[in-house]
Amino acid sequence: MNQLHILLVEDNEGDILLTTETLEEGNLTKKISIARDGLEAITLLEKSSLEHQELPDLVLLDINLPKVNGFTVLKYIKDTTSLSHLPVIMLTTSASPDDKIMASEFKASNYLIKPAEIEDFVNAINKIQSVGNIV
Amino acid sequence: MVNAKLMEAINNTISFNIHYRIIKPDGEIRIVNDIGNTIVNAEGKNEIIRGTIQDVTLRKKIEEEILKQKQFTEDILNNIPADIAVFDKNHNYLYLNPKAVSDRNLRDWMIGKNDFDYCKLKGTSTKLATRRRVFFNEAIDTKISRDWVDEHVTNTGETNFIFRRFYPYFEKDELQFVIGYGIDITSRRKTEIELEGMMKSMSRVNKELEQFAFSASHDLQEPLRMVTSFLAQLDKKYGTSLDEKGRTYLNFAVDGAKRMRQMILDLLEYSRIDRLDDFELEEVDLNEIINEIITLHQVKIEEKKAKMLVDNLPKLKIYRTPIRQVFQSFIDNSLKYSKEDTPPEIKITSKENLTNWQFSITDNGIGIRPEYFEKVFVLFQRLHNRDKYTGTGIGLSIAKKIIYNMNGEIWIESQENIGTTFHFTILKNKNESITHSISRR
Repeated sequence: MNQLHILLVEDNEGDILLTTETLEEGNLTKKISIARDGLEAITLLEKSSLEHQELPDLVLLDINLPKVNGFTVLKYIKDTTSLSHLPVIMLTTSASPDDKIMASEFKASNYLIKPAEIEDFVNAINKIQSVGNIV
Repeated sequence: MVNAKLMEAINNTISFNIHYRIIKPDGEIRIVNDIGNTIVNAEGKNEIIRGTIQDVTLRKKIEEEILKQKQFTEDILNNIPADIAVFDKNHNYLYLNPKAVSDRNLRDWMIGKNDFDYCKLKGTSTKLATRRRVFFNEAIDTKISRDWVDEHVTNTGETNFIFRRFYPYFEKDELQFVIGYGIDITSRRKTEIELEGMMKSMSRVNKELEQFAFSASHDLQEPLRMVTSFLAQLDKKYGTSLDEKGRTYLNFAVDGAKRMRQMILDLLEYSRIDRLDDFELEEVDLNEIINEIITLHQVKIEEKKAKMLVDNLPKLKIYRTPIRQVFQSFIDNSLKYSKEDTPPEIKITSKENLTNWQFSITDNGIGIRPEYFEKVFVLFQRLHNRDKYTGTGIGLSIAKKIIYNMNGEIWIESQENIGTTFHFTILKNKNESITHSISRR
């Protein structure tokens, strides 16, 4: 499996630490960018896209985020031509069916419940790669 | 008196019409009507008296009876504590009782007139009159009585509530008149309003509490997840470098976090029970429900060599998931609190009462002492050491809450070391089809 550049959108420091450690332990990543709220994520992606900088290969997106929530970020990504190809995995504490349905309607690639283990990430990434929209 | 009248007629040669009593030889008193006139001769002298005497005893009696009846009806209408009015088909007054309009002159004036005439006379708003006219026409159109409540603001600024009804009276499909009546229900209405307010605030407080329990348990999960996750990391990365004491501490911390997580999940489940709206009423075969639960507990049943004796249970129109939770809690409980040396025997029976269904779950387990009958239903109350029996102690609280939400009752019969029976009832609903076969399995 290729090591990916991952954008982690997460406001909880504990979760940031846990997720980065899990991804690193699984040898899944070569670079992790972090956005601590929804607006920061949008700004970061917008800037990379406009300045033709390297975009992440994958976005891990929490739902309950300060300023702009995860669904708005997801919708922004999928509605923006230069970003819509980015695979997004929701990573959240919410097991609510409504949230799952909404994520799938907004074209998230997968939906993981925290805390996600290495295997969860591996499976989710494999699934995306089998569809062919990840590097 | 009779003679005087007769003499007057004779002397003045005029006709007479008099009533008087006669006493018959057998002592019976009769009333007669004596009508006649005097006839004079050519000299102008009274020659003869010509007339008839008629027995009018019966007629007099009937007249008296009618008068008495009339008085009786009037007494009722004059003294009844209700406004009564009778209208013709155009809403003109045919009759009003003194309670409706106390001023006699005004009352007489009103006959043949309507509410709008009255408003004009008094110079008052026609708002109530207009509303009344709508109800009046509705009653006539639908041929059934029409009720409503009028609100009158008194001179002192208080609001009085009058319950009113128009009742159209038809004879051979033809409207004869409309009876209208009104009763002062102010005191009752005020109590109702007070009660409505109390109910509203109670349901608001209840909703707030539910919401609180839901949010609290939901939000508590978040920091707890941090505790659990980092304890796991600690164990994974530094577990080997801890000494035995350190590992014991870590184990206690992990165990505590696990239990807290279960309690929070239970609390969430408990707070969700009140949302019965989330479920749909459906025809549920309780035999199916029990079979599902038995399948779910198959391993434990076999492990404990438990015997399940289930009556033929009814089909009820009920919420499926909540009723399954109820039976599951009792069966769980019976399986869990069995005697160590005796395989559990769990009997489930049903009984149809006049207004409800009664279900009983009997086991041969360790039993419950009477002083704990209430306690077992309290959230997170456990009677035993955690090492011996697992669980957070939420099952029976959930069962009780569900049963109460379905307007049922729940109670315990138990003897220590003999066994326990949980009884509960489910209120029957007349509108729901309920079938039950008599045959027993």
